[in-house]
Amino acid sequence: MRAPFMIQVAVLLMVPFAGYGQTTSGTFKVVCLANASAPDIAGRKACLNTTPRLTFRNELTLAVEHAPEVDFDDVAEPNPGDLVLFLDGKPLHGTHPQVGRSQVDADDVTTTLLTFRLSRDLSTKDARKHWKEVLEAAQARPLTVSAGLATGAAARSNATIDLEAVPSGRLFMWVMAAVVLAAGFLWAALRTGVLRDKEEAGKDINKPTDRAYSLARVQMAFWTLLTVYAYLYIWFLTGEYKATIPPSVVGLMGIALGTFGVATALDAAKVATSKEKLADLRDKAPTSAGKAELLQQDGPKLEARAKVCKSDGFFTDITTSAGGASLHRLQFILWTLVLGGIFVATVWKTIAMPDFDAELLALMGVTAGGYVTLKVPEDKC
Amino acid sequence: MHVTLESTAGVSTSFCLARIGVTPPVGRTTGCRFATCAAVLMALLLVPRSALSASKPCATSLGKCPLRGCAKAGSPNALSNSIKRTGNLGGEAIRLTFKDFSRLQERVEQRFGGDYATLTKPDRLRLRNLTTVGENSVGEGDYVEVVGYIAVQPATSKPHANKSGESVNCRLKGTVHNDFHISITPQPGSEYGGIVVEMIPQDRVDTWTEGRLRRVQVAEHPVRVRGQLLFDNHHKVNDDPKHLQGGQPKRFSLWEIHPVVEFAVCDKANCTEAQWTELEKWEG
Repeated sequence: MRAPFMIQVAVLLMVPFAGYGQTTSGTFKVVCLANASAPDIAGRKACLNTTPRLTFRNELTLAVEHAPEVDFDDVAEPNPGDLVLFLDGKPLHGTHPQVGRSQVDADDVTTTLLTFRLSRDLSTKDARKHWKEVLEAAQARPLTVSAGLATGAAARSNATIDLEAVPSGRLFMWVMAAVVLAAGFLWAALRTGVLRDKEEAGKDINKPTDRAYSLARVQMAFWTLLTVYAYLYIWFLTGEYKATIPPSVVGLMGIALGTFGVATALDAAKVATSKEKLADLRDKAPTSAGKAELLQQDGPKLEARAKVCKSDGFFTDITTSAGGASLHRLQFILWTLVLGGIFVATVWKTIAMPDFDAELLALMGVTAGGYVTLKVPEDKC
Repeated sequence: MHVTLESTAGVSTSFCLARIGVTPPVGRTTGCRFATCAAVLMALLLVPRSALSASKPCATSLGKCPLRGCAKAGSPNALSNSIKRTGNLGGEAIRLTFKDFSRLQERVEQRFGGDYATLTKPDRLRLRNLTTVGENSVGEGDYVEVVGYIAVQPATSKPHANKSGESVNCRLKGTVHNDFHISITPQPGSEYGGIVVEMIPQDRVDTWTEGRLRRVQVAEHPVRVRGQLLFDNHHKVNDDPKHLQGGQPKRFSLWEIHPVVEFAVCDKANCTEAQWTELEKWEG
């Protein structure tokens, strides 16, 4: 009993210090969320009576009190145009206001309207971090709204909004687009040879769908599809068609494309080598007993290497080679799925492309490198 | 030696006393319980350095102490610190009664609904012209005067310099670096029925000393204090001895005269203008 109590005591001891060092601007304050078209804005006359429910691309107007003509501090007022929007205490990079009307009241206090558009600029690490925290908070409670300098303190404010980050209408539109895209992709995957090996067809391959699935093509398609879905999700929900794609996602696509490129080149090289060896053996077999024996022994193997394998089903094709299930293929698949899961969860939660750290990206690179390296000695079928 | 802390929850706790050479209570677990120690250590480790350094001076001398004191530039505290050290004190002082101080407090309560712990520049503008005294509108920043006595109760009451070091004076320690806190009452009486006036250390008259103020207090002579009217929003009213506000100066109004620019003493109960003697010349 005592230990939990002490932990509570410790936590309580920390509470007074939790906000220590935090500060608010002393030069201006946010009075409320205001009706931008109200004729009289001084004091609280333009204040909204309810907590508005807003989503991306909406605008919000803050009534801000300040005193530009009065100077009794050693710090000047910030230029209103330099202020940024603060949600839940977090400065949101690039959200500069449109400065509206001002009115001076009997106390010489100036009220100015600042209108912010709820849009995101995720070009900095801090901005991505702050928006992530804001979206997490928005799921649990109304968010306090304020303004301040991006590098300074927010103004005092009691104004709140309900941020509906995922409006059901826009989500429905995205789901529709996703279903159409998935249907098109499935059709292409099942009916065409888009995800299958491209080597020359043998006698038992009559149509493209007889060809075996290619792991490199599948993983390339996997990442392409995820990125397209993510891009559409962000665009539908936030309207950000210039969505910021973090370098790590570009790196991930690079790894996928590189893996695909190297694997294709290796396959092509293997086909060329096999054909060359086969042709050489066939040329020399009539005059050399040794070559004839070699042709009889290795001929079928070399022929098989020069042709595309017949499909044994999707999962068998991508996980096995001639010797059965391959560990390097399984490892590559597992890490692709793990990173894919993180990608999907992050996009869903933050409505932004994830920023994988360098170590995770390196792990994916190593896995992909291992796959293409061990592909060299492998026979597909 | 036994040291036991009874918590409000009634749980007796020995704070790792064995480790520091203090015997824990008889019958209780000797030594430190790991979780207990860990919890206390965690609390201490998580206290930000800024909090621990809060009591350290932020300037080496008063001359190098900026107007905002130790407060962060542009913060509400910077603003109140600046106001405590400035003020346009020209012209004739407006005479305020203790009722006026009470009315000023009421007006603030009405205007801010008790939510005045953090005041911004526009908020402080709304402290100006807050009420009317005679033909004058009065509020923060005005040059005012009040006539009363230095409080004599409780028995420990006396004019004193801040001991811990205030942000406004860059947390420098010592009498010469700190404000003199003086409780002024309508009659020689209790601080609970009074207001506070403050003599700031910057350019303070050398002969304004705690000892001289103490002599005025003991003599129970009327005093006339002139200076800037200021609302000390960082405190709470503490006017009821039955419901003490811990750590708050005893007074019925948070309006102060701060800084004091003139302090006069009279040897009689009722003084004419000519009978007031400036503190620095008072020979009492």
